[in-house]
Amino acid sequence: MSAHSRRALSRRGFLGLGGGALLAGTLAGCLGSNTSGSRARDSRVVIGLSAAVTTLDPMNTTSVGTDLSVLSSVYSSLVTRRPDLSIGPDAAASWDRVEPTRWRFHLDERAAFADGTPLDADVVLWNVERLLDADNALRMTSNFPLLTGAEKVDAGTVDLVTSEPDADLLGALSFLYLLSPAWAESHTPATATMGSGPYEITRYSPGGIVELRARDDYWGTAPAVRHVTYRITPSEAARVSGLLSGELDLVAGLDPQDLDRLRTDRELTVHQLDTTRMAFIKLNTLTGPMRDLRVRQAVNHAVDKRAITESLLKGTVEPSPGQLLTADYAGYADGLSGYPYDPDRARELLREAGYGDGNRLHVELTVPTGQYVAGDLIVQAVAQQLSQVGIRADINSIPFTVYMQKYLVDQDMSDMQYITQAWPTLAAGGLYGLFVADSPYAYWDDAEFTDAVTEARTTEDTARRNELYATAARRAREQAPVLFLFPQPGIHAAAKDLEWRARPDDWVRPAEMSWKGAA
Amino acid sequence: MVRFVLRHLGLTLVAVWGALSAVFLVLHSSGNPAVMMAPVGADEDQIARLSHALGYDRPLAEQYVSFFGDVLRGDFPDSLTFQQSALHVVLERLPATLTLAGTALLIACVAAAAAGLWSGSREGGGARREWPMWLVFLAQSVPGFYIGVLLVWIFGVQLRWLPTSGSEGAGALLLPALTLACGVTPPLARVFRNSLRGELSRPYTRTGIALGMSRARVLRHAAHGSMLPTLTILGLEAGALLGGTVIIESVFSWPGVGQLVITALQNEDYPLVLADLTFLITAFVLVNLIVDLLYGLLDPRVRHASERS
Amino acid sequence: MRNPKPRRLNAGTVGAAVLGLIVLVTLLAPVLAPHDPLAQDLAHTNAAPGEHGYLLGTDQLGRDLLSRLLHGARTPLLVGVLAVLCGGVFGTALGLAAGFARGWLDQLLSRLTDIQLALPSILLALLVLSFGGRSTAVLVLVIALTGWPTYFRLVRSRVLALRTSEYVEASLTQGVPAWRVAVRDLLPGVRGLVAVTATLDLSRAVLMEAGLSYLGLGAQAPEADWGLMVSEGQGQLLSSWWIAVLPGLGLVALVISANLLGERLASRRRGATHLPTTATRTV
Repeated sequence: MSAHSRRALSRRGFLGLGGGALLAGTLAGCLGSNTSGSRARDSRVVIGLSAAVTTLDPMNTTSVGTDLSVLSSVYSSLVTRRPDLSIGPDAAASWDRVEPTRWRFHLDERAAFADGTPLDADVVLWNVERLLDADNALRMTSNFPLLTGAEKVDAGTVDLVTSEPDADLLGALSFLYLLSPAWAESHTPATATMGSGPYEITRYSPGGIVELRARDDYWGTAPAVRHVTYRITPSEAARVSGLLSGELDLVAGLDPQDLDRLRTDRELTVHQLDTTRMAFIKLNTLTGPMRDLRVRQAVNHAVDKRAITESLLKGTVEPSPGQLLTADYAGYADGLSGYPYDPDRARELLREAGYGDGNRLHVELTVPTGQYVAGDLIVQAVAQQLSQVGIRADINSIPFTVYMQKYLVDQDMSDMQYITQAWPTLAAGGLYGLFVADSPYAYWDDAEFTDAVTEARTTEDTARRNELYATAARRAREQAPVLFLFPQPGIHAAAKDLEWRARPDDWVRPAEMSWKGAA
Repeated sequence: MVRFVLRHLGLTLVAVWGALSAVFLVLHSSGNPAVMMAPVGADEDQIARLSHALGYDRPLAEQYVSFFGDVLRGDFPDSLTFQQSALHVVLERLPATLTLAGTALLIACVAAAAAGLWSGSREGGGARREWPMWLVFLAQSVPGFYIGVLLVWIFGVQLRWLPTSGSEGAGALLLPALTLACGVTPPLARVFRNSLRGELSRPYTRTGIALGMSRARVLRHAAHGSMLPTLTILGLEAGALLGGTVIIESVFSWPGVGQLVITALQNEDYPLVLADLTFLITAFVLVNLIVDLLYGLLDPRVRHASERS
Repeated sequence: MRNPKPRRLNAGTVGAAVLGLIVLVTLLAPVLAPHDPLAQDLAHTNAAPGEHGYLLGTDQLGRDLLSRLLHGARTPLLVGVLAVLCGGVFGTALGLAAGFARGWLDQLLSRLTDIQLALPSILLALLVLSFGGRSTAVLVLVIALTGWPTYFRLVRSRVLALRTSEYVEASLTQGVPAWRVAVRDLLPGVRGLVAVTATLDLSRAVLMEAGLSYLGLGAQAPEADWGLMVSEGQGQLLSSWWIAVLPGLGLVALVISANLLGERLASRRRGATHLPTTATRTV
């Protein structure tokens, strides 16, 4: 289930390797004949993506920043998450919860695929079956742990049934994109598309450029932007110089290091916000030195979070108040404070735990190479600060796939690992679910935390539920299963005249954009 | 002649077989690929089923045999990241690499010919004659990725003359092709220059000059005589070019097979690594074979020497 | 083939001097460097050369670039020298054996080098490092592995020529054990050749170490390593060019000096045997 949260984390390219290149685009772009001004007249937008679109099958990917953002323009889902993070209608015009475990969706009568086939209850049934069939081994399936099936009520009405009450279902449905059963019989969804969304794909090559065109016969509100080009620019420098030269109109997920440069450019607007993704260093509390609470607290005291946010992240985010969640989550508890930076206290705690001059604490700190915004730099800063209190942290930078294999499949996480986690439904229960005792993501066996979260998840009363989540938050702060850091900053830059509201949840949707002054 | 061709063909096949066996062994020593192919969160049962479906639970020898069967048929498993035929993904990237390598080779040939003619045809010595060779020496001593970084910095960042990544338009091609050419030019230029000097000092050229042949004509004859050794090097370098694309494509985000193999390795996309490497190795070996055969055709001495040995 | 280098200036001496200087500076780096190459100054990140008392500026983590440059040759030199030693010893021994024994052993080893040369060395290195783990030892072995065929081929052909000499034939007919003949009579004959090849191979090995470190498969952060530093800094070319550009200059100086020295040695010995003119650049 948590597959999503970690896959979705990937918004940067693979290794720091892509890092070499600068600036993508045509010579024409450089010479200025294809500026954002002329694109505004054509109602065209060029978006720089940090990684290639690897598949067109919306059920077989969980990468929000790339694959899903592109596919959300081509396909419809039953419901959609609006820029303000509330849930709104898409293919389903309305819905209600007829039983605690049964949701009823009334489909929009106009909803239809590009080839004219109506998007009816049978379509939803087929898609749910495809999703739940274990033999299909679809990546999206793990986001629907409680969904058991769909039942047709009539041609325009369908019920989704869960095994237990599932508060996350709507959130998850907001990125379950619906395929046409008839079309899928004769086409491969991984390499072709035919959807019921506002755009259609006019050009696609694996790992290369993707182009979209607005559909004239789209059943919903026609998008203002009519043409979209996605360019793959794996390197940060390429994205920045592409923005500065006007070749790219919009880039999401920029490195804070370039912030000053972008802010001084008068043709650009910088959008800066906290994402819903929390960055921390996960501690393996099951084996090794991190079993000891004093050591976990010591590392929390040893790291100067503010120095890192001010330097490496250019002050774009505030250190977390000892929380696993960001303030965007339903169930976020106010009133906690982070571990103050106090190296003396850290040394004292380490001494109590039996470490000192003769017995230096030696740990391994793993980071997935080039995966997270400034991740490689952050771990180096952390390792250096740990060394100041007498902890030797060896950095192990490994490819993301290897990292996940060790973390989840082999259950062989190193003493410390840098990770950022988010839960796409923005429910506290979802993200906290990664820390309950029986989760393969947890590496933390804490009864008090687990009980509070487990009870909260099935509690209908909001006040009581929030109380339980607050208990869980306090427990996590005290027991320190992680080295608390900060939310991952979301830094987006767009052409000055492009109207767009940056979202804290990484989605970049052309349908939410428009050019100022364009007809 | 037939024996010559057959012998080279045989050697080539042995080389391809050996190289692919090495790839097979290295990839399989890294563990069960099904673990990587399974969806995240898959349990042991699912992995076992997938492992069985893909044939990864068979004895290694059996897999080895079927691996070669697949390679011969061009039938590779689907890429994990792209969820489609790995060979298809590789072939889709091929034009980009061919364009890049072809342009680089062209630049290298022109540069090598110019440098070789300048230094090879001049009398005397010193800086006036040798400066192109110094440049060549420099190009040879600078790591390709650093040349790339420098070019990007100067032309892309400081001067903003050229785009520095992507694959659209002639402008985007120039910097990566130049970078790649820097690695290929030096051996070409050296061999051409040296053989040119050799030819010019031969008796027949001296006789020609004494008989009043024009300088241009003498040079043309000498250059013709220098083609053969240069061609051999060209063949070797065409192969080296493929290796060079691996790093240079990464530096410039050039969407070719070289960059693909690196990202596939990073993602542990086992079928894609396999398809890409098979492709690169075959291409590398084929180019060398063609050059060997051409060389044999052009110079009977080589052919006979080879047949005797 | 004649040496195309300028004659008047003794380039070999210059190469040797620069190479010696780099080695010396690397050895003395702990004394010479004004700062610890790993010490961070988060208050002064990306300082331009000269700013805040940092002569060559700082990198993204506020580490003193001068100190990192002084330490940065350690890994390339160490890995390069070890790889050349391993590859040289291995290739020479096999070349000696193949040239001396001839027959099936020679056939087998020669085909093996054919096979290996069919695999572009950078791909071989990538493959091994990606799946075989990353450590200095693996790095050395991989670079040695891609280097041994050169020694093998040169030594083998030289030994084939030497073997037919009357002197060697005489020793063999007198019942001197073959291995003793190989070591006593043939090895000295190839020593000079191997030494020259090794000098040129050093620049190849250094280039390869730098390329692999650049790709993230060689030296690992936070280590100061020239190739790695170029890759760490290249994302910052827009704002802080010095982070990537300066370490590369060090690499260039190292490789040029090794090449100059190697060429000089090669040109002195040229004549008897075909020698490579310069190490071919594979990265």
